Amino acid sequence: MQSYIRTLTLLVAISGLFLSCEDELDLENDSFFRIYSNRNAEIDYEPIDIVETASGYVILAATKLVDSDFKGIQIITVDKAGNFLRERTMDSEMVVPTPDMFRVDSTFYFFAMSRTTLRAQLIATDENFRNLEVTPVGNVLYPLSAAMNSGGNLLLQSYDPASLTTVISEVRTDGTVLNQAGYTIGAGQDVEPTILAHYLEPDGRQPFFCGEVNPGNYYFNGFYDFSLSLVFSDFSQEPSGVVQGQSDNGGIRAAYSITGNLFALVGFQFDENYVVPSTPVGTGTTSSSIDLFSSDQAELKTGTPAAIIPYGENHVVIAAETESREVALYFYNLTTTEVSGIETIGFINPFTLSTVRTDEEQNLLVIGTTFTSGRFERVFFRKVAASDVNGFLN
Amino acid sequence: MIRRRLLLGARLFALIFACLIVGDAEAQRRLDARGGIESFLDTQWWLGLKFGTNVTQPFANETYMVTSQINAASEEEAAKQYDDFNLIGVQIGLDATYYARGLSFGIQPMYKRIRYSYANRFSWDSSIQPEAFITDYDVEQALDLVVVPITLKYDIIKRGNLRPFVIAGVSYSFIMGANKQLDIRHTDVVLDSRVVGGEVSLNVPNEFQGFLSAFGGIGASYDVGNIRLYLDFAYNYGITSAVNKEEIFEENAFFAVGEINDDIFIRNISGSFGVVFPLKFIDNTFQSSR
Repeated sequence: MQSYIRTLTLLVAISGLFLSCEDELDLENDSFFRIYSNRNAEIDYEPIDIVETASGYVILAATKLVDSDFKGIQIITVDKAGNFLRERTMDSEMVVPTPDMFRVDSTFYFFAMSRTTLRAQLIATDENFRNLEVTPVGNVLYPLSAAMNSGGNLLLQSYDPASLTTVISEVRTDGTVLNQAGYTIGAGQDVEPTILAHYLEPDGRQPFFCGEVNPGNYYFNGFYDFSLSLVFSDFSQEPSGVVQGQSDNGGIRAAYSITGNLFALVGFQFDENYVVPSTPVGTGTTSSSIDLFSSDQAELKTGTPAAIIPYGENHVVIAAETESREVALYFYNLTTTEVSGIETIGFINPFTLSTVRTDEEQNLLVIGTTFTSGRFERVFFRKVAASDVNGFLN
Repeated sequence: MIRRRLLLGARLFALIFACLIVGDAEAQRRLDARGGIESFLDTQWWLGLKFGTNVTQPFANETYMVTSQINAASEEEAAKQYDDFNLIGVQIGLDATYYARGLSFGIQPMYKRIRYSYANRFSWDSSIQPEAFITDYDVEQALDLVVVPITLKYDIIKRGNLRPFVIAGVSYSFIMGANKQLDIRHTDVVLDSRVVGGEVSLNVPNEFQGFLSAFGGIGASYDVGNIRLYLDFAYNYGITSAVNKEEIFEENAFFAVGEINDDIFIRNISGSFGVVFPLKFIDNTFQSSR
């Protein structure tokens, strides 16, 4: 009997070897993937941007309106684990939410357009996203893209159909225009149908964006001098530099100023796509985008949207859509300009990219749409935890 | 990971075997001192095969969904509906048992395939009518396991050819494979059309993890000559989760269509038939040497 007891005691002790502590699911800190489903078959979503809040994240999205062809504004809040909290659709007078959304302390800012006057509106809201303060922005029409500069002011790219110019404005967070310059799209050019298609048609979206090279020197990607060009401006009458595209058949889709005139770029030339993790760009000269490109990134879809953000001290993340309807994230090492890792999102159902961001913990936040049951366009939110990203970067 | 767990299992098996051999040697010394056939039959080693079938009831300790429902009303609808004890699995393995005075102590390493199924439904409304479009998911999950049970058996009747017994013990199941098959069906209620939305079948062992179970059951053995046949039925109760929680929200082909695991504990009923042979003989005809 004693030998039995001895053996049993031993076995109980050994079975403890298998009872290692179970890993608990901690979605606030782990990677996750969410699809925000709505059982209304007639609703579509088009996410624009995602920003971290005190309690989670806020997704700025465009959505179909019953009484307008323009897309309305929707604000979706989710918690840190990605669980849906609330959604709010704004009054249909305000349309076409413009990328990006910005947070200054606990106030969130983004631009939209009045559908009756076509004037740009600066919308400010607090963490609750209940009280929206709407301020018209000077005489700025057709807002196209926005960024925040290092001085805490907003940059707004817009189009003026009267003067046929692409306009870049520096706007204070109270809506006051501080600086402004307009650059001709080319005599006799008519880009208004293209601008309207950008607002109204899913396949008509143009790669408009703007940003800062260094304080006082800015760039925008838009129509200038008969082509879709990357234009550098210090608000002088003429651009300080231009990277010319080829009509709207070639140009830049996304750019990020790594430091000074060193840029990470995604460009296109007809059906081909080019990814350039780090290259000097003439910010004070006139050059052609085609000269910056080398080899076609064949797996990327023709006309793919693209986004570039810095990651850590020595990487950029370049996001784009692939031919197989996935969203691909390429992590480029800026020292070697080689790919350190690739993360793809999507199988079976098609996935589209809206944008990629990081939060304060350096978690990667990717939003876009997927088609549930192959037909209902819904927002997806993929968070890749910083620990997972670092796992394949190191 | 699987290899590491297998090595651990092999070590455990070797250790138990060594303990039993030492225990038997001690018992044998005492038997030799008493002598006689009765004392000889007090202990015995049995070695043989067992095989049978099983059915499974998955228990969802916590439920998870990829989709976060903007309409709260549809959250419940999208939850998985599990089927209980509906799909038959199989098991086959070895039986090494040490018997002493009505009490047996054994280990039965075996290959076991368990299967279970569940379904969920997503629906969409339109201004034309509610439930205008329905998508149904039917999932069949099979787990291929190497199970190492440690069994304590008590013979209720200790003499005669027919011996009813009760069993109890613990087992650890190592995941060898985990084939998941998802069938998708779409129904467009407005157009009155039904279409197959696709079939995805993949082996996803990383989504699962080895788990510990406790079990109890009944059975009876019947001696035919030197051979012992037995039939037993056991209820296995999962003590730890069979699902690797770290992988639940990681991407794969199922994930993209909204199909992910809940936190599953396996409850399983198995019935087995066994044939075992004694390793000690009274008749020295079968002994290799004396």
